[in-house]
Amino acid sequence: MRRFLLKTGLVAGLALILQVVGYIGLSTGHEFKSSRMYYADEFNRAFQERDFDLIALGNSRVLASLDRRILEEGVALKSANLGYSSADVSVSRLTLEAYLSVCRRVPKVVLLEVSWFTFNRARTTLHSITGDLVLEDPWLFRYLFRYQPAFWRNWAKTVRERVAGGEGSGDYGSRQAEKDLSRVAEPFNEGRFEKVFPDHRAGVDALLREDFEEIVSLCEAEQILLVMYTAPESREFSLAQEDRGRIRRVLNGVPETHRGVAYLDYSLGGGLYQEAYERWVDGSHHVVRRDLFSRRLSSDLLVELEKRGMKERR
Amino acid sequence: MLFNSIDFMVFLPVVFFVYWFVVSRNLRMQNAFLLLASYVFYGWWDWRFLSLIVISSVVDYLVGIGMSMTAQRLRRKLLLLASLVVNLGILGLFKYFNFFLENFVEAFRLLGHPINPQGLRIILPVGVSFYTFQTLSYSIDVYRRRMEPTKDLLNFFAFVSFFPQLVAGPIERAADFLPQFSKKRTFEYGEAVDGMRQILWGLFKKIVVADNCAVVVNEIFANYSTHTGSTLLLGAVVFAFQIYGDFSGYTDIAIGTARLFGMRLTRNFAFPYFSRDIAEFWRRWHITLSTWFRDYVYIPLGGSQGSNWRRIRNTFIIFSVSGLWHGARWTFVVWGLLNALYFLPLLLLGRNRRNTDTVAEGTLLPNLVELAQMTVTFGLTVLAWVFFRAESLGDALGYLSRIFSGTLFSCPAILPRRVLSMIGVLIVVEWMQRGREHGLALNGRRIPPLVRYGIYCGIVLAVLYLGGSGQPFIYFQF
Repeated sequence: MRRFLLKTGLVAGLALILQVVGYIGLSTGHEFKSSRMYYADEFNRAFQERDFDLIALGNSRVLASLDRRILEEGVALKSANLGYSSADVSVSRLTLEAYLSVCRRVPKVVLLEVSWFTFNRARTTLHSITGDLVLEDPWLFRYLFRYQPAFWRNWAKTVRERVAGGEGSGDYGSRQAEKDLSRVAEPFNEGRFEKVFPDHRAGVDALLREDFEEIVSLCEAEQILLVMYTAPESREFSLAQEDRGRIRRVLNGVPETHRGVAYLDYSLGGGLYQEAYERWVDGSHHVVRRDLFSRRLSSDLLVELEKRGMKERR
Repeated sequence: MLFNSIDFMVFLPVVFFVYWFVVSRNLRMQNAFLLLASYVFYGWWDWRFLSLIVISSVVDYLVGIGMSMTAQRLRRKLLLLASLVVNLGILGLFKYFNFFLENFVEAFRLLGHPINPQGLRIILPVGVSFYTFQTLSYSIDVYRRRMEPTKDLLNFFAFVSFFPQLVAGPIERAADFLPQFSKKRTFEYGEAVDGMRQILWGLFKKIVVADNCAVVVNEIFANYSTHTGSTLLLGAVVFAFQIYGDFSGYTDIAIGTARLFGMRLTRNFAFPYFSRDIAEFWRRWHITLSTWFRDYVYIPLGGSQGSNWRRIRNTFIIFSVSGLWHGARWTFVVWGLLNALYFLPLLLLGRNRRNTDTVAEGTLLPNLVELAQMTVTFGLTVLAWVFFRAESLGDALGYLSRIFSGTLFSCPAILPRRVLSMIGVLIVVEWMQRGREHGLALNGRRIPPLVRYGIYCGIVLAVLYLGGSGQPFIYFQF
């Protein structure tokens, strides 16, 4: 038996050593690769400069709705947009943890885009960016079991891509910039909606809810102001959501129980909703007038900061 | 719990350590612990369906006891009938009820009397076809007096639910496997080490070969109407390796895992794609199912004895039932019938037992005749696999008709180099090892430790980093 355990241990140990050596090699001078899923420049800036006052997290809704430069001008806080297309709230949690583990200065504000499908996996997933985040923060490996098998798959994909080399596939920012802002927005497509949400319900996935609450706790522990916001969406999209009330109750409940959390809701029925915002939306839930919305968000965020004494009143 | 999951990576070492270091002192503790571990393994997927395994185990145990208490033929027959009704009832209800219902509805509609009965909204319990066949074999063997029934409830339950082979075989015979639960197991170094090698090779076949093939196969079969003949042919060939890597990979992991616990499972695959005719293929593919049908269906029907008509009838029955065992769909039945058509000429000409040895034994490469025989046999199985993989008969026929179109000799639109190179590695390794039990078996051959450990580490890293998208095992659904 001892011989068997020794030999098995030897193979496992050798494989482990090779992995550790490989990890060190890959993480040294690691850079996020350009991709259609996110602003690689933003991630590289954030993880190299590590001194941001505000970081924005979320999925394509934050990428589409938020212009970091306008936000920086509006609130005078050094900001980074760390959104990732189709990312679920677990990706936001991992991004925040990875950033907090390397930052020189804890951010003052975390801006988190939330919506009706924040706790649903039908159109979001634990995307492959997590493999890159692990290269920034090896401690994230502790979540291997929590997010299996996606976590390991993403890590393996990152390793394969890094070993194979090659360029990224274009920056999300440039793709967004190519959009003609004056064009007529696409109408809401009910067929496509029903394909993703056949019973018109997003529901609350337990794991995603836990990760969302973990973001809240993390911000609370680090004394970071967590500002959740829901970007405008088309009226038809909002009305098609059968369990909209349930999700809204979850989201509205957070600022009621946590003093360090604010919620800015620009969607139908939200506290900051205006009908005009629906004209800024393309299809169902992507803002196309990023310039207009970013200005609006900046000014509301500024009010929130002033209210909490984090900025002097104008 | 899947063999290719992180859960199993934790489960296996924990069970191994408890088995050899905590409960190894006496046989009953070993068996009790194996039973517990097996139920945890199965319950990890859905604990509610454990009740089916318990029902099947209780019924067949009692049937065995009942048979031991009576010599009356009628009573024994009734007891066997009870076992058949319960086991085939479970199988029929969960696997075939909706299929037969749909076909009745369709038949009534064609006769001009449309009916609208409600189907059952149930899921297929994982491995139900495997463990019901295993317990059935016990009742039938006891009925035939080929074995003494066991009086030990614990042993019997552990035999039915033994976790390495519970959900996808090999389908063990009680006469071979049950006695292993009556002897206290002691740790055997050689068995355990070779078991680990077999697990490693099984993981390679499943995760590196089959899962990568799945991506290509899914794309090609889902959009077959837009692909050229050459691409579709490539898709069918890749599927042949996907299903082989998937199922034989699972079997290797199952057999290797059992060896870690001092148990011996029956060989289920013997390098089937190196077969020189279809009869040889069926002696090498899913061996435990083929022999099950042979012993409990084919031979009772008369087997290959009697008139040609009877032999033809028996061949068609056995292959169509085997097809239906794989799933409640006509595509599986046609797959079985097609194999029957391939097999019949060999049977009728008395050439079905011609190739019983290992191909090109003692030589590095096959001769031209052997190569041609293997290519033709492989080609025939590939065509049959199209029915196995297609969603419907219409899709299968459409797929095949597009293969044999004018675009067959064009360059395939999809050329998955990584997948093809994985398949290449699989073929080369298995060809070199074709006389041995599995792809990494050493059988006393000495390889320098540095090379050996290099190979092991290489395979571990390939499994960790070159795996596909984590597909479930195909045979779990059967």
